[in-house]
Amino acid sequence: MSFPYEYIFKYIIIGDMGVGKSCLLHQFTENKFVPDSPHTIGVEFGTRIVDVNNKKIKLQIWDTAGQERFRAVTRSYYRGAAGALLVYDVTRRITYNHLTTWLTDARNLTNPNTVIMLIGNKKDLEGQRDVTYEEASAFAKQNGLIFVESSAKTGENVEEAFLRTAKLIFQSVQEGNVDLIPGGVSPQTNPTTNDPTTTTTKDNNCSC
Amino acid sequence: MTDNVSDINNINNNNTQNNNNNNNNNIIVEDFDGVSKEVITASIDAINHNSLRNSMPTLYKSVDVNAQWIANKLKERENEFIEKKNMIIFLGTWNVNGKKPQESLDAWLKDPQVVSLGQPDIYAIGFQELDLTAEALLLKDVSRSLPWEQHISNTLQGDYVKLLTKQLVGILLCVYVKKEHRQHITQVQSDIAAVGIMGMMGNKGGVAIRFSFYNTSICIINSHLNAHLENTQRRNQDMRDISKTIKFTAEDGRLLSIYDHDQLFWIGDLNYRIQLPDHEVKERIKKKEYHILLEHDQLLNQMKVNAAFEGFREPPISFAPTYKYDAGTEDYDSSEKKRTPAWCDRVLWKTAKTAENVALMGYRRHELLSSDHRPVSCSFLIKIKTVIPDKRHKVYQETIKELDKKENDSMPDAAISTNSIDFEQIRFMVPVVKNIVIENIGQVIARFQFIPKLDESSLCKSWLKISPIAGMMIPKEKINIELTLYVDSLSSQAFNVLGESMDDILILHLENGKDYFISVSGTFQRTCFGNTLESLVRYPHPVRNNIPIPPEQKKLSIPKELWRIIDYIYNNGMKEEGLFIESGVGKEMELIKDCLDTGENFSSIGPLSIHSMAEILIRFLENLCEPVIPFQMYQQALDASSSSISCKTLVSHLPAVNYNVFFYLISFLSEVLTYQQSNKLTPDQLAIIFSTVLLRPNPSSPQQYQTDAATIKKKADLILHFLISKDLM
Repeated sequence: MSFPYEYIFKYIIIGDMGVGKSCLLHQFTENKFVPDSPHTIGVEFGTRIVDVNNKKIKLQIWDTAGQERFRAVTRSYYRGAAGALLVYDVTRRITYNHLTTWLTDARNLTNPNTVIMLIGNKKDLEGQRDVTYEEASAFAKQNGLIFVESSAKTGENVEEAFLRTAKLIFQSVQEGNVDLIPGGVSPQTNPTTNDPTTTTTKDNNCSC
Repeated sequence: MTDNVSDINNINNNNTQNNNNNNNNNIIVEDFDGVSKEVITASIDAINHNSLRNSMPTLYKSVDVNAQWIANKLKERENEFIEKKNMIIFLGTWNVNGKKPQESLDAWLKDPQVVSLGQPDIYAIGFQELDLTAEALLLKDVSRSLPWEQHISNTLQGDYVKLLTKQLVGILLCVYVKKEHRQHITQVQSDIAAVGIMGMMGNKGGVAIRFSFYNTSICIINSHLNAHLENTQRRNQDMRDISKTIKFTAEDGRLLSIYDHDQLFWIGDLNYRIQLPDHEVKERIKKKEYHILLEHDQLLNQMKVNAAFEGFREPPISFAPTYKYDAGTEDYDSSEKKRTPAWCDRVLWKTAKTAENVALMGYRRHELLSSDHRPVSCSFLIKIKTVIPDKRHKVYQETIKELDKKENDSMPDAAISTNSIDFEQIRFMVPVVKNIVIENIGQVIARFQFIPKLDESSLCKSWLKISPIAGMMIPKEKINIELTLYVDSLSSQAFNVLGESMDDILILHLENGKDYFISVSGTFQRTCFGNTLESLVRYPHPVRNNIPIPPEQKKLSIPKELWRIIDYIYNNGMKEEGLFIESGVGKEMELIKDCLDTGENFSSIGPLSIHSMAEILIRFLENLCEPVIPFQMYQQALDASSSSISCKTLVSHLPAVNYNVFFYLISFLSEVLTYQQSNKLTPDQLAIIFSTVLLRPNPSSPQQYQTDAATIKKKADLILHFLISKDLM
């Protein structure tokens, strides 16, 4: 095998503007926190290779713009996602209130086996907390989501969020619910030709 | 045959050089993913062996370059996660002269002088002349080795496990390790090299076992070289042959020689003698004048001149020669042959330049009497590199992260001058151009292209043009993208009639990289141009005010703008020569449009050319989203043009507003023709001019390309019927 990984999982990060989606991505891929980073206007892209059950898995993470006006456009990026990280800001209730809309989009636009993880970000700002852990936890339970509170600033639970999702996806792969192409075998997973657009449109082969 | 052998040896020699460089890396690659691997290979038999030896040294195969890169990085940072531990290796050699085990081995393997300094972590025990029977020479019988193995196991008891034993006729090498280390030993391999009678029988030769002990590679050779005082050169040659013949296979398929190890030990009955008369030797042994005897030791002398065992070292000997005794006694050979005593049984070592040297713990002989040789042992302290798993994992994670970061950095990246473009006020049919600059701020070539949104086929709304829609930039290069917003009569309906807002989102996609969204917006100046008759009659106030008539109120019969234009021409230009033929003044026409849309009086413009107003009439009709004779009646109209009756029928089927407008225009044009003498206009001319704007094919139909004379005439005829026969009105 000439690639250092055996699977590629596509993730999307969704949620309201300013909840820290890009920061989560950067913290996870580069261990870096950039305060006051500009809003993402478009879709950013990062990768990281992780170990799950001794298998090397390349996570291909798509970080989407959160602004309402881009909602219609960002919907086109959900396709083919094996994991969706649905993020809100524990210090701004409004971002929590919008979860239902985001969740509806995620459910409608992804595969039934897509693992959706709820992330309450900015847990380092305990003093400004606006949504309790218990409340969000109940919401997650009610909607069948896994849930974690994280801080992209301190890095707390960031790895955990991405890795728990990967483990669940991998479990799903092993149970045969998801048909993923092992890396290095199919030309579609060749990192030299993987193009974000082609990845989203290759769903014929990949029902993840 | 000899030639063949030397050729093969040359090839292997070349390999050895390459292997030296990569050896250490390989060891780390092997266990870098943390999966503990059990014994990789056991002994390789002679057949395998030969096929390996004859294989081409360089074979094509795919290489996991990423794993290699990670392994190299880990090697560079080894100090951060490696801990050095002291380990004791015990090397023993004994020529048992065909004897079966009969006495306890404790005095050798568990000699208090040895074990008091620490229990060895590894035992490597070599025997020679295990079996002197003729069968053993020919049949490679192994039944003699098992009792010895059992005897060693009993001596070492439960603390040790056998790693591997390897036998070549009478030569046996057994390696035992402490149980706790077993899981840290990998890549265990063995090989044999026969140099005996005919070079193949195996009564002389060597066996070798290699393994990786934690991260340190160790190779042990047990050999029995040719006998007799005079055979020094032969022994030297045996040693060279064995060292060249012994080969192992690295995990990636490369061949490893004995020299590709951190620690190399050579033990055995090397058979070198003391070059002095028997009586003198025995005399000096009695006086323990070993230093004098050692000056005449063949091995030391050969090593001194690099004739054999080049680069090897031997610990100083401070014990009596171990050969040759009358078995079971402490007397040197009393038989007829009267062999002169010699230090036949030796332990040599060689440490690789890159490895940490060993420390000598003791080189001694042991008083076991059953053979004509005395066993010898040598213990060394080896500094073993052991990995601290947690620390290594941390470095590994950092390395992976660095690789990920590099990979993320090597994605194309671009800076875009703006994500939001406001074209502000947009007028009908007035193009406005805005620019976006994208710059390649990444480290690789960036290819970009605009892509359509989900479920859409076009990149943007019809009123927007993007140029270029795709391109390539080398690092630091900038490209200007021109966005042209232009609302024509095809796209105007959306804003004038349907009241849509003017905005769009463009997706600029970087190949292998991110996507940028670009918001485009503008404010369309509502106008009666590019509008529909149906809509205009619902606006009694200027269209710019955007206040339609409530549904229950009566609509206008014709658009007020049309009335204002015609009223002006009627009052100011009926006699004008070239009316509807000469062009208007562009700037005046824009001002007239504004007056029409805002309700402003034409007098506010100042003096006006009548031709400007005349052209405005043509343009007004031409830009109606749907012509006065609707698209769907186009073909019927052409067909009807031959007869005035059918023309009348056709017109009677027009929608109410269109009918009103049609007859309002015909009445006006007929009035114009009453001033024919002054304005010099003919019915034919007016018919041709107005038919082209009143009767238009749908721009998306193939008919729009029918510009032949016959079609033009048919169109004109339709209008002409109404201009010349008043009773059609």
